[in-house]
Amino acid sequence: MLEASHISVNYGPIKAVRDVSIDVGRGDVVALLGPNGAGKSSLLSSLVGLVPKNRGTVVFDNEEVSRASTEDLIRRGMSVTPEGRRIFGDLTVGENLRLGAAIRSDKDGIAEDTEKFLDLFPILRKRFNSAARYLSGGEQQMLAISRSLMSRPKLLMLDEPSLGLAPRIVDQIFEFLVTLRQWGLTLLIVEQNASEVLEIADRAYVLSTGSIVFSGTANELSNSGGVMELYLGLEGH
Amino acid sequence: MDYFLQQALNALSLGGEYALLALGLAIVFSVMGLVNFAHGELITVGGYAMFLAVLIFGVKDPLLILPVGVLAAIFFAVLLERVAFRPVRAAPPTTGMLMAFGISIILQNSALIFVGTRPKAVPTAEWLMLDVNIGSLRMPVVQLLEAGVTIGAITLLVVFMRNTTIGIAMRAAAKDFSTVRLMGIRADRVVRTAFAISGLLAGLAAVFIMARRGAVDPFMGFTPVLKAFVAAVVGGFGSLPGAVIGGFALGIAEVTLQATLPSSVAGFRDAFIFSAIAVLLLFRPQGILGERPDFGEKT
Ligand SMILES: Nc1ncnc2c1ncn2[C@@H]1O[C@H](COP(=O)(O)OP(=O)(O)O)[C@@H](O)[C@H]1O
Ligand SMILES: [Mg+2]
Repeated sequence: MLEASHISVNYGPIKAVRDVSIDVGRGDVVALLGPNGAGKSSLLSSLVGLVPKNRGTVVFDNEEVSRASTEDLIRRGMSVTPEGRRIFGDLTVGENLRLGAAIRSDKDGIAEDTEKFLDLFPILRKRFNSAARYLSGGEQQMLAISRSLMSRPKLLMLDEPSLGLAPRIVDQIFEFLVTLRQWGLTLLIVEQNASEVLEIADRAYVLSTGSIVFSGTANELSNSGGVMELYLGLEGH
Repeated sequence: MDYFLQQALNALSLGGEYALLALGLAIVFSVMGLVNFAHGELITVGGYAMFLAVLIFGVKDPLLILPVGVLAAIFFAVLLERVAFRPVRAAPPTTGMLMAFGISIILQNSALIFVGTRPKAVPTAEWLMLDVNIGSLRMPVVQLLEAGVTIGAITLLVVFMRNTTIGIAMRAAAKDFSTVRLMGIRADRVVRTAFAISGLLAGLAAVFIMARRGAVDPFMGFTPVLKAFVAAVVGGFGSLPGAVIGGFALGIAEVTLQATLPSSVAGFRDAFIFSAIAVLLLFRPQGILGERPDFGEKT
């Protein structure tokens, strides 16, 4: 589904991502882990064309898209739930969902999908016509994920979906990600919080100061105490 | 009573003109962060297009001439965005502002060189210059139309911004452009639409300014847009409802002072108005509806 090879991202003199290659197969759930400042968000932004790559190639759905614009990549079936949710606070919940479906023109399908998410998250139905900024953090995250699914993506990339949320809400979010996995979606989940995501991921990469320091199955990572402790601040099993 | 109603219509039509122009400035600023100092040139271009249309079609066909002014302003706004502002979109906002200044000066001087300094008369359709009697009131058609068109245009704009995907995207882009792009919405399309709307609103204003002045000259856009800029700041720069409120507030203030100041001090009308604005901004630096920006780092 997604093969990114030798990606580098520089901000002036800062080398945020150095020669990173990752591979996400169709239907896979892949975790991208690493401490704050490791370059996870920069990698994601470069994959979706929001920040320029200094080097590297991206193949998405068997097509070379290294130079494609963000708008193009979304139309081809990528979608991102950005770090910090980035819901449109002045817009209503309904308008947020509508913008998520901006690339589609099948009115009936859009209405059907909207209903689907309103059924999954009744609070979104209740607040459908009020400004999204009044939702709680967890509700905003549900809205942000729903919004990024409204384009019917083939690949959904989530940037720290658990960031700043209470443990109970984090559990809910991960339950929802398991549902998405059951729907057959391909997921690339960026997290600092390794333990929850490793329970649902097939494979994992660990990024540190811009470079991949580990890649393997989620099980291998859970059992490799050294990596867990060194980069993720967790005791290995 | 009649005198009051006539003054009220004056205020409404003048305020409407400021509101249309202030809205155009605000819509481009909210989406692009660009203060378009070349906005006045859209009016001038509309005026000259009408002048040309009169040469070509003759005066007999005002219904052909009015849309020419509006269409020219829209076309020109979109053209400016494409050739002048898009290349510097990624640059700091001051670059765009300088670009706008430059364009404004180039256009004014081109008009001076190629058309001449003297105002060119553009005869208006006769029916626009008539008065209509409503009961005991005599109201100028042009002012009634201007008030009506302004209210109609603002209503349409509200409907557009609330009910179309691109309108909703423009509201979202005012706060977070890159997330709008993550929705797959093309940045170029959002920006182009903002400019087209600013051109449409400036074109409508141009038609009425021309009807009142009867002539076009290279600098005719300057004063109305300066006033519109003031109106937009008063309303809260970048806020669309603020631009409308600011525009009407300024129009009402000007007409009220004009009508009530004794003739000995009437010449100081603008001084009174700007003093009042200065006081308002002391208490509400962000304008009436603007969001309070973080002034912390400068104080
Ligand atoms: N827009 C930017 N301009 C300059 N430096 C940036 C920018 N965004 C991120 N960085 C730097 O790049 C590095 C990686 O950041 P980021 O990709 O946000 O890491 P992560 O998402 O893993 O926390 C950090 O050193 C950060 O300071
Ligand atoms: Mg990050």
